[in-house]
Amino acid sequence: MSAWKMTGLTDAGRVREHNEDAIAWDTEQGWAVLADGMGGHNAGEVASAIAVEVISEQFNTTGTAEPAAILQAAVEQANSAIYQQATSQPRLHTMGTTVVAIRLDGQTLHCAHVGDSRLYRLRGGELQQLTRDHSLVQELVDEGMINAEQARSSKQKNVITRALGLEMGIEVEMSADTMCSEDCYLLCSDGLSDRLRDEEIAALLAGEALPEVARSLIDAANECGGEDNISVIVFQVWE
Amino acid sequence: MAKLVISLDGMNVRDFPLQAGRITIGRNSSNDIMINEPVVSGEHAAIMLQPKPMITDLGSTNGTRLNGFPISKSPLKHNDVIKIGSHELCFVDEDVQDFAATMIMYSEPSEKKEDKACAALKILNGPRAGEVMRLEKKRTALGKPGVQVAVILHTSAGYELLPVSLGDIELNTSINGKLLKPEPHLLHDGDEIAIADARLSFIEKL
Repeated sequence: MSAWKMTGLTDAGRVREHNEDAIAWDTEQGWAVLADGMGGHNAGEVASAIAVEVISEQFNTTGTAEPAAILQAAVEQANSAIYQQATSQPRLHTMGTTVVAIRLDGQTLHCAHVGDSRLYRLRGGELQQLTRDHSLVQELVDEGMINAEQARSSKQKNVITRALGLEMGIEVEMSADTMCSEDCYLLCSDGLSDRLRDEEIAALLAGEALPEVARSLIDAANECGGEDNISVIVFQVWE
Repeated sequence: MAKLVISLDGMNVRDFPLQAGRITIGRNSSNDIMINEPVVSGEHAAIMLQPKPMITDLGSTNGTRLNGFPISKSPLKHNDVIKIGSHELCFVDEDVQDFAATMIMYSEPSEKKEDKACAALKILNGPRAGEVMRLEKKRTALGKPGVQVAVILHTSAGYELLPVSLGDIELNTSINGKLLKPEPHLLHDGDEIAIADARLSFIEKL
């Protein structure tokens, strides 16, 4: 049986007036969700808020289904809810959101993601990105057309190929990881991963305790420009 | 390119591409955009794109609202919503690109299965000259890896060429000799694409 502690923080950054990110987590039940919304006016805020609300609600409803199945269904339900809102109100017609959500079950971490919000794991000092972005530049890296450094420096690094709320159906990418004692996991929006390199994220995660580490990550991203909204959820595992 | 996305009761009614000059909106049929509602004045409002996008209420009886607020004259920016009568007109400036913001790439595949025709690229120079590549995927990458890269997007609008910015490397991708910015450009039959040292011709229907 694992034990863990969790913390999260979201920040508008230094340039934007609005925070279109949304986060929620429950340490006791072992789940977390982070969404990065987009769309004109405050449509992005609406999309990410619906995603977090719908997914949290599904997690809080106790059922007998497999944790991974609950997770996937929750994300699909969030997609339908956003899509319905988007099609019913012209102001919201182009809204969408990324999402990364996790649910813990014994030693297993189940993850669902859509878009470029990420899940990282720090184990033995090594940071590993566990999700693959659904983005234009990631596709080009996969096809061997550009390298990782070019993807990082591309102006189009924030163009995503998948998001919640655009169509009736959504292809959710599911993954799982086996947790070990002293692992540290991070969910984040691109406001963090665009600004900080893996080494910087690893050093911050390793160097500080919860809950201060969340503040440190956001402060570091702000110091590197803070052009976008920044959100993090961090959790540490021990026996 | 800018347009108005016009909707009524939440349903998109139509898109109206905005050209240079004065565009009028009102109940009379002489308007560029006619809105046939009793609460709309004969000549209700006008939009000008030059020198910068502006909306002007033409002294209408029931007023024009911009993002919920009554206005007489106001600049227009991307995603502003104009309300006239029960109609909402969303101003979309397709040239606006906010590179720091996360953007969704709209690439609805053409699900029309009966439409078997597919676009293609014909290679015009080099050792593979004369070869034809079919554009069957939603996104097709082309160019010289790590040097000049572009993606052809199959969207609801058609086929678009999107040059990819790679850090400090200067973009050197063109259509018919015109250098492109890193944003989507709609392709037309017979367009000649130059990317890195390759030249290709776009064939709309193979």
